[in-house]
Amino acid sequence: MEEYMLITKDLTKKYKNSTAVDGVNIHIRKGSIYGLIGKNGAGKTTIMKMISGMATPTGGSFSYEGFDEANKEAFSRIGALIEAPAIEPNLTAYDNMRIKCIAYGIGDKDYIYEKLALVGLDKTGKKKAGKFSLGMKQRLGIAMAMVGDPDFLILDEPINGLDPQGIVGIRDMLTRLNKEKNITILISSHILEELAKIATDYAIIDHGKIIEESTSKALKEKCRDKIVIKTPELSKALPIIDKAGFTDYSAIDDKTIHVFDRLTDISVLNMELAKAMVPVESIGVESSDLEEYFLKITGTIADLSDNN
Amino acid sequence: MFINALKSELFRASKMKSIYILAIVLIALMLLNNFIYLKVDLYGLLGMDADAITELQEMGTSGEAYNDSFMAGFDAGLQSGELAAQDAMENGIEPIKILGKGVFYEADVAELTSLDIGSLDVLLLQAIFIGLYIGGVYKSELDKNIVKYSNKRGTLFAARTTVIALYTLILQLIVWVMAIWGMATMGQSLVLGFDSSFVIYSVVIYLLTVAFGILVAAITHLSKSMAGGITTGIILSSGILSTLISIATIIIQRKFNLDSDFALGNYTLTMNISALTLNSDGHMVLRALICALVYGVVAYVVSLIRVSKRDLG
Repeated sequence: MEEYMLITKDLTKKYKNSTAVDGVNIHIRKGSIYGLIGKNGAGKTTIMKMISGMATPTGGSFSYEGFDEANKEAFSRIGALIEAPAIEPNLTAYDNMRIKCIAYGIGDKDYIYEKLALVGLDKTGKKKAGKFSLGMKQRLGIAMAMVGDPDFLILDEPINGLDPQGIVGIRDMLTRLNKEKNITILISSHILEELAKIATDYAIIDHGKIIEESTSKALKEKCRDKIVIKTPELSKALPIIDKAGFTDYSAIDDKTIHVFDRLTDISVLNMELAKAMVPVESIGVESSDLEEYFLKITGTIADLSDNN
Repeated sequence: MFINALKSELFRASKMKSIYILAIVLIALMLLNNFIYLKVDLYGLLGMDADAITELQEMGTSGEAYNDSFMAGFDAGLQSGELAAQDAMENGIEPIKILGKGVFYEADVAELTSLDIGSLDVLLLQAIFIGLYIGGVYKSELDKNIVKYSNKRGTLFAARTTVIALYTLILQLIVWVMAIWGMATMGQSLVLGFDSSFVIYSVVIYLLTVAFGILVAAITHLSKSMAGGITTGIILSSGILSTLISIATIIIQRKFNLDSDFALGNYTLTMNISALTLNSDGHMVLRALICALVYGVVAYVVSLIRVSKRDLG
């Protein structure tokens, strides 16, 4: 049976004139890296705030497995970096870390340096955090989120403002934390290709609603280059495809077949279907990366077309 | 958990340069105050006569009394200035005498402390500290870091209020130390005068000042603004509102047919702090104590409820 870190049930946040999060149900498996994908204002940050106790839901609930109903105990096992890193600009990285460490009852100097080393900020000396670059501030925010060795990390756009080297560094660090320390991570990002490199599970959110929740494997499948065949006689078409020597294919619904191998042989496939008198409504190669898939599923492309 | 929160907040406060700067400013202000009280010869400077000094001493040692005596001296000075001008025309100009025995040259440390407290300098500096300290939480959105306290914001709130109370105590200790030092170096003799009335006075003044701090903190919490807290604190501590309070007093007196003894200012924190003296009667002390408790508790509870229920960010 699947073990979950967090399950939300119809989680809702309404403001006076708008609904930021509308009946969200997400299931975050223990040990997973859960990517939350959505446009600006889709409700990602609000969800993160609610599950970390920073905002009160107006409806629904959420529960951390293994903790009491009010999640009180769970909050001490969560590290969060939500929106901009909350740092004191007049203090050094060390002192910023120390404020949180003391609040968490951690008095060990080496512990602070260990966490700072994780994000490459252990040698910033007396430089004030206010003078850090955006990327350095972001890394300090992550280091602060790591204080208390949380079981669950909530990171809202953690690679925002990082240079390519910084992105790789954070990606490697998160993967390492997830694998070595079994930390479950909820992460949102606009850079979907980056998210695709580390996330094991996804939820796509739009206008406060979860449109799709799936695993990385399932999503990759959907995003793979493929021949898409639309036919009213699916049962007749499948043996023909098999006979033609195609091995990696699947029926998506009662009219659609996706073929993932030998994409260049589309004309051969079309001819074989025609020979077998299988009516084909459409056939073509479709390729989409995660970004395109996201745009398609959230209707952004349609929205843009409508506007035009 | 409260102890950890308090330690963390104390560490944060200790890293604020402003707490040291404000303490230094207070030392400088106390030096100046004590110098004026102990070394400036008001009689010589303004031609204040002995009767005015006696009247001042009878009124007790308070900021209000000092202002009254200063104005009395100023009036006397104007009159004597006219005489002096006439005299100067006849006999030539005599040099003005500034240094000498101040009005409170013969006072004790307790009296000098109450004068210094009555000047409201502590309130002004305390308000600036609170604006920066509590406002800093909202500027940096610090609480978003401490997820552990997400549903225990009351603990953080209590820790921050404790820091305010501790810093207020430090500011008052500075006033006491400076009063001792002032009497030792500029007064007639070093007499402490720390009797029971001084203890009661100090406790009530401390509670009033902490209540004022909680009020300024509440405004900072509610407005989530550093500037909001500091501005309100300065307005309240500088007496800018005293004219408004006087007008409101007249309106209330007329509307409710109250006698002229009623003054709205008697129920404000700043008026109580400036009017309370070592010689204040029990009624006045009790009123000040009740004001401190009511303002402190109401401001604390209202802001705590708001802070606990409000979403972060």
